[in-house]
Amino acid sequence: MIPWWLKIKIPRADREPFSLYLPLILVWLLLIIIMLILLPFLLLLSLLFWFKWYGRLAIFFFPLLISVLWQLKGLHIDIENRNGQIYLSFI
Amino acid sequence: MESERRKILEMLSNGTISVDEAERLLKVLLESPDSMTVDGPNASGSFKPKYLRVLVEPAAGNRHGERVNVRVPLNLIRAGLKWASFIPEHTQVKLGKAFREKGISADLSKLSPEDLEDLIVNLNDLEVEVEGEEIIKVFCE
Repeated sequence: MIPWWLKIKIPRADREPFSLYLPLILVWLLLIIIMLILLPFLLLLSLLFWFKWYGRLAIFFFPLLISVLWQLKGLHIDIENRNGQIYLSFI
Repeated sequence: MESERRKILEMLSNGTISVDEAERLLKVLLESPDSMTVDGPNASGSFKPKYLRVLVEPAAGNRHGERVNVRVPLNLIRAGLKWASFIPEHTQVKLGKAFREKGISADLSKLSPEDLEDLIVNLNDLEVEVEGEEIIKVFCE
């Protein structure tokens, strides 16, 4: 399933890190708009350069991108060292 | 399910399995109670891990070590590997040459979707533990 929230933690000095939930629906909506705008150009590029490797890539670019984004749910990255912390979790 | 849970806890208290292993077994038991046997998740052959997990923890006495806890959905790896088919031929040749120089006989140009699926399926049995200044664990859950 597609993730709807991105949880990030912002480290604070001498205090517990601050958790922030970002609604990914806004990102997906923006992405759909960008994809719709780019779609005719991608199709044109694909037709013009079909026999080059990037011509075929162009036509499959969006489906492959969507398949990757669709599987992001559950991805969890938590890295902590003395310099700071990176925390990302797709929920 | 109750007896299986008790069995796992007994194995933990006897020292037969580690805390991490017990945690994973309990998780599997909760997720699919019907497919679990007391012999372990792989014994029934129905254990299907969903995530590739990488854990790095500082070893005892190492106070400044890095802590890493990464969980990658196997389906994400599956989806990501599909991009490999779009690597241009000349790059595949270069990659193949680089692999051979490192002693790895891998030909990316001959990599089929079935091979990729086999790769993912075989990740199920992956379990790596490295101990030094940091304890590194790589496994599927």
